[in-house]
Amino acid sequence: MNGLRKVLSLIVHPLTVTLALFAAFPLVLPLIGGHISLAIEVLIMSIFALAFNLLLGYTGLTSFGHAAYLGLGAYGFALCEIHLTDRIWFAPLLSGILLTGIIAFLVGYVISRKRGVYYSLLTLAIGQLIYFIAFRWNEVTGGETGLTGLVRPRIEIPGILSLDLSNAFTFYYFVLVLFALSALILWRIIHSPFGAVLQIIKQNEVRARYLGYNTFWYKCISFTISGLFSGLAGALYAMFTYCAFADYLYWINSGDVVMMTLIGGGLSSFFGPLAGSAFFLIARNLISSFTQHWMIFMGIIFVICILIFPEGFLGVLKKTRLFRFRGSGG
Amino acid sequence: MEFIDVQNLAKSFGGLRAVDGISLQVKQGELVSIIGPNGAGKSTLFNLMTGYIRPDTGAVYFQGKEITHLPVYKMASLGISRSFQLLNVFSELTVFENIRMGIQAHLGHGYQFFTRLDGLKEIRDRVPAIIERVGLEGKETARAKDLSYGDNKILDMAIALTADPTVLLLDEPTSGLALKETGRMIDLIRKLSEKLTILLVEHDMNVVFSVSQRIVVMSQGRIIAEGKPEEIRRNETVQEAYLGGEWKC
Amino acid sequence: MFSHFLNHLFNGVVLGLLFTVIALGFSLVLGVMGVVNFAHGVLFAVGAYFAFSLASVMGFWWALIISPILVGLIGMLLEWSLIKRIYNLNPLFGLLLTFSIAMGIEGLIKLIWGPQGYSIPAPPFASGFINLGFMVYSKYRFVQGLLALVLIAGLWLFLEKTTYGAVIKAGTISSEMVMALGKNLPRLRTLVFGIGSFLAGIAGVLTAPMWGIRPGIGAEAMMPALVVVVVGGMGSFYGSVLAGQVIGIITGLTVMFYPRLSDLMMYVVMLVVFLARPRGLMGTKSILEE
Repeated sequence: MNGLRKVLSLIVHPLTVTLALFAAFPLVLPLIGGHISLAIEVLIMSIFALAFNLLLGYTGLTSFGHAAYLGLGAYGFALCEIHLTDRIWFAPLLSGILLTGIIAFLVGYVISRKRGVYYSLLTLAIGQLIYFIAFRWNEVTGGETGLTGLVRPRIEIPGILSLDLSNAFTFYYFVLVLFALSALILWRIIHSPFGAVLQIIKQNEVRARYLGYNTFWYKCISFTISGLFSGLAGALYAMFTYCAFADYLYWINSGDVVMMTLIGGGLSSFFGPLAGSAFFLIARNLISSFTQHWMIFMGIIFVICILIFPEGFLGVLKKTRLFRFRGSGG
Repeated sequence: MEFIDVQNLAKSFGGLRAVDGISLQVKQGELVSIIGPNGAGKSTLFNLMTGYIRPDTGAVYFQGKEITHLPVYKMASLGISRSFQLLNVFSELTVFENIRMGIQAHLGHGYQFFTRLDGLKEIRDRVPAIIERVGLEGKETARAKDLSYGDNKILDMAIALTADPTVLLLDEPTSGLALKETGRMIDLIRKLSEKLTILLVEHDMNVVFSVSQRIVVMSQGRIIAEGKPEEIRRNETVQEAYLGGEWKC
Repeated sequence: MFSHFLNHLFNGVVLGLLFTVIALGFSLVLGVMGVVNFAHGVLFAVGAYFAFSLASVMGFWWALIISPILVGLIGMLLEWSLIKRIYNLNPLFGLLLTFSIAMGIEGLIKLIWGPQGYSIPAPPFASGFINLGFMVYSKYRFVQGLLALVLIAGLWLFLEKTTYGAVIKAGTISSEMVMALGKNLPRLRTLVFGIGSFLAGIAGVLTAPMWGIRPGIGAEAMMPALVVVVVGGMGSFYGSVLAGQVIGIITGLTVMFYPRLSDLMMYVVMLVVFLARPRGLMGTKSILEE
């Protein structure tokens, strides 16, 4: 009976439910007039938002230049594909992840002594710096035109799998696998001793230091992990759009991910960023299909959201105790 | 060699000399109270001693080794813990979790990324001992922010104990407490002083006179008097510094 | 060669003065209300757009005066209806609120004026060149610099020499002080936001002939505001002036020697100053601190 109970608890585990929802997503989306490419974008941005929330919701650090890491992932993917190879199917993806991870570590090393608004402004400056480097370094990044004409490598696992990703549905479920891995890893990290330290750093960094934690390294590592997964999202985005643009790194996109994460309830829920990115992107897509003045409506919607429920969608749900997730986030 | 040796510590903020050449020696096992009017520099002294602020001049030695410029996060491993004047616990966590975080640090499990936090038995098993030591039984699952102020002060102390310290710096542990809670805190401090060296900053003279072996009086960043409780009680300089003061005998 | 250098140098000085004007409004709001106003940039843009529409009707000078006043009024309306609701919350919310407002207003700009860009010529009296003796300089930039200087001086006089200015200065130190002075804090805040918006708007007007008018200029103008405040130090008027000059001149000279890097120099400066001296060049106190 205990075995059955364990299986049951795994089935109703919020992660499983989330994955099931996302698996059904592309089939449901057309009902509200959405195209599968929107679903893909939501999924990729969800990875990005989860990565972002490791910093914001769990470590209490607001990065205002996080779009840079999305962009670096895209460029890492593109550059590997263009200059190295597209024959090893995972190489460009890995390049996107590693490039971003390395730079995120370096940035984290520089900024992790600070916190609060100081920290945020530093991330903004660095994010813009990276943006302009991408925008101006024509020889490497293609400058304003970016790097285009990318391909989606064919997945070849000898003897097991040969997958052509040019089909949107296939690509979606490929991304879903990576999303599942990312969500799982991030969930485990958050619920580990390391994750617990991040959360007390958010609540009271001074006390955490008095306990004996060298908070500098925790913040730095948190930033690096966030960078790695942001890089994955960026690489996937390059795969999705077949190109890498400097525009991906512009600071407004950084603001967008902060918005998504907060509106969804990232400050108090692991799944908040997912709700937020789905809401943001679907809303934008729907509204812009009706009117070219979607920015006005989005602006109004967000103003209302911020003023009326600042704790975000899932934050509100948590407060009304509608959903009791076992151990979901601190 | 003194257990704790503070030599000529000084710190200025802008034009203000918050700590102005403080020298202090503490023997192992002693309970020394530091008293003085507000703004005398008592909390700043603790901040300087524990690496939270860098001194302009002076040095701090612990068991013969210099610790002056060590960062805060190294204090716990040396066996130096501190409680705080203003509430400084992890308000979103339960009592159990608060204490667990301290033990986790003490046992060095901070960098485990993939083990389940709940699964670490050796950490879990040490929490009840601390809860019992401070008297918070029955409140393990209460969130710190839902606890009474008095319980929070005790929790603050409990967290400080998780590092298995040999030295406790207590910063106004009874401030804001009601009479009964103050009594509880005094008992706890007395119990702890049997095994630990304690430096106590306090305003409540009842507390000070009932637990201290030695009293140091600070005013405007300097030590103006030092000695056994009876000596201090009779000391005129001290009475002057406390004009209209806080003698609650 | 030397006059070439002087030209770029002067461009840098003028750019710096403009950056300072953009930053001062932002800095005031940040100082008095502790709000990082991400709508500051879009108000800058609105100023430019108003000038565009008004100039064809009433000429440059009237546009220069009326446009910022309109922007100031809009700012006061925003503060009174929306922004005042988030003062006591986590600063992140003020940020996101103003960011959302900026989004909405940029949408409005596209609705009213369309998504394309416009150019507005320099007013006739200020076009062409002016002979400064040792060099010939763009008349418009000269006028820009002069007007910016007048604005900065005017604001300085207002803050230093008038009672209301003194109250505002007190407000940057503490709101309690303002209330202790018996002044109406909410009204002060509305006024400060109005002044900040006014400054954003007038900066928009001044730079419009040079930078062009597009919906995206709002987002672009946000950055100099932030950078100048961080480099100059929060709460410091002189800091904003100094930082503006430092960044302006460095950018101007970089245009001469290594134009590709000119965009990003301000961030390099910001990083360097920030890491070496977190309070900024002349920062007095810091709301930014923890």
